[in-house]
Amino acid sequence: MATATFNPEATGRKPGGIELGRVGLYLFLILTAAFFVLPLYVMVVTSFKEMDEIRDGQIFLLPQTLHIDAWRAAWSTDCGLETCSGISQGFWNSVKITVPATVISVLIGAFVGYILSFWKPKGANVLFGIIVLAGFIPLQVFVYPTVRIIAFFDLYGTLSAVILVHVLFSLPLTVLLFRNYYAAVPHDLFQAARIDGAGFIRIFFSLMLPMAIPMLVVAGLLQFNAIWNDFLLGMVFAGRDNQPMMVQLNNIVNVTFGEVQYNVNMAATLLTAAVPLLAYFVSGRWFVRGITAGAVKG
Amino acid sequence: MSSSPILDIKNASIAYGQNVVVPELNLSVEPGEFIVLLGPSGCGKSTLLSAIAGLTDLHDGQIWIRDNNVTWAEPKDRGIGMVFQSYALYPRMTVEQNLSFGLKVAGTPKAEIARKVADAARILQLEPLMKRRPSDLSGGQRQRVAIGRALVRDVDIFLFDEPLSNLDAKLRMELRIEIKRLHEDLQRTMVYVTHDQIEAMTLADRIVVMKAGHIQQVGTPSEVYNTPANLFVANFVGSPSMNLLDGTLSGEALTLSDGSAHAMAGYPLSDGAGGKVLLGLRPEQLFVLEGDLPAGANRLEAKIDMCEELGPNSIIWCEIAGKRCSFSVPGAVHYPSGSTVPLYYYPGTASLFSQETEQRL
Repeated sequence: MATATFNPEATGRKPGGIELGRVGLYLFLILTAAFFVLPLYVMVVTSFKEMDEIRDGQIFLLPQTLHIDAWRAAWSTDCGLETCSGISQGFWNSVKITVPATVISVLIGAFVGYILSFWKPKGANVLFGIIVLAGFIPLQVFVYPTVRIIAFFDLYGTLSAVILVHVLFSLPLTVLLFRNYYAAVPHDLFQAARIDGAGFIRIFFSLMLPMAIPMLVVAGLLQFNAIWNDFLLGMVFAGRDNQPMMVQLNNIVNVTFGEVQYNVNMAATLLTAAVPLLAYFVSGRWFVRGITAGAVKG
Repeated sequence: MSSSPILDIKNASIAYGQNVVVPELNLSVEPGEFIVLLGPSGCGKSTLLSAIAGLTDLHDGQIWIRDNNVTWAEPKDRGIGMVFQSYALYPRMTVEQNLSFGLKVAGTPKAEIARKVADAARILQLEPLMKRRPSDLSGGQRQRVAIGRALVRDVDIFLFDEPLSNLDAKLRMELRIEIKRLHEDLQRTMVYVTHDQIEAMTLADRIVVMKAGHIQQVGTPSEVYNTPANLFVANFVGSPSMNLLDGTLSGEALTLSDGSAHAMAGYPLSDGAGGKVLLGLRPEQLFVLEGDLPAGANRLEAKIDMCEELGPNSIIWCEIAGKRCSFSVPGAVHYPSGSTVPLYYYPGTASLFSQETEQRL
């Protein structure tokens, strides 16, 4: 017999109390959150200070007065390697690169995933294996050959080149996402559409693409952020006129002459990071829904 | 029937690679018939259905639908509509869009689509649901939409692939009745796949019992139930399954393994039948003997094991001639375990199978 103790008075809800374990748990959570929030706090605070104030070295103090000069400079007047136009030009370049590259890579991923899941051409599994495997190889390995290929087609240093390269390197991920999403869609649905007379293209656009909206949002968000945050491909392939925000940010922050303008650097970095952050906030509900889609039936 | 069959499967075989799922199968279906393909999972019944639909290619043979050889035809051109187990309604379309999708794909004029969809909606009582999405429908409503999708396309043959098997028992019975009523209203040919013998018994004009791709028996529900063509059918159809007793037959004299002698007078034996046999008796073909043995009946001794009360009747599990058996009695009846109860049966209603060939004698 076990020697458990039973309270003969016990009735109704069990009385609670603050346990030591609970306190420890919250302490741990707060510390973890602080680990991420503190640097962000310092950045925001610093971006609103003047250089005199920053030189005092009190990085945790709030600014005495709010100065938005640093933000203005970061956006439109700060100097990079040769121009003094802030990162606004890079912002628009990034938009021009990221939007088409995201849309194209997601759509192609959905289409290839649809073909692999439903039409199952001969060797589909081998092909899928190769695509996924390619996704595991660091893209840096491919940079030089890709430069040669792009140069061969006379596209080097153009907007199309950087978009094309982003699409190419995104495909393993988007194909993987959509193939697995469609693998969970009942095959009956596909066959019902075939009996209704719908063909290859019709089934995709009328049936499978609308069904994949949660995954379109997730893949779109992942792609958008990955392409926006990219530095290497933008620097290598975009050419001088099309440099994305991330490359310009680097140029501004890494200026090697004069005083380091911490407030401007912080503002520029925050501006660059604001876009993916905003994307998460806007699509957060869909993002969670898409990630968990298929986890529970129905 | 004098009319030509609406569906004619000629020497069809279906294979996945080297694995032949359905070898050399022949089946004719008359217009308006309700055919049920019945068999355990993996017997090839769903494969056969998907071959009729054109979703699976034949390895050999032909399929004819309404005097057209459709063996190589696309699913949409065959004049078939299919109701899937999951119903496979298009989730992002309303009921109306689900119904009209096939017509829209076929390029039907808008006015005609509207008319046909309205007709189907009226017949299936879907009118109040036209703007809803499938996720807002009950199981029965989903089934009606799935049937409606075939109905609007004016198909010759409705194919059903286990449409009731993932529903709970009560709903299953309701929808079964609804399908039967619909068949009587529409008078269309229906081919229905199931592993549930009650669905087969209640719905079918004719049942096709299949095992490992081979047709075991084709017949009306009562033929399949009362005169199973072989041991497999006898075992598969009926719950609890048919009691089978070992015996030796010579002429009309049957000697069971416990030594008791039975006269099989009244059983339509073919000439020269004899040897090792199995005597098959359905649970409700056994009666409790009270008083004298009726004329033409044979007597058996049952050693009671346990009793199951089902409400309208009771299933009594027992041992007869060394075999585990069951018989059914009306009402709530309880016999003490281990007691012996005398039973009788009429040889004319029984089944005899050769132990060697497993075929009916």
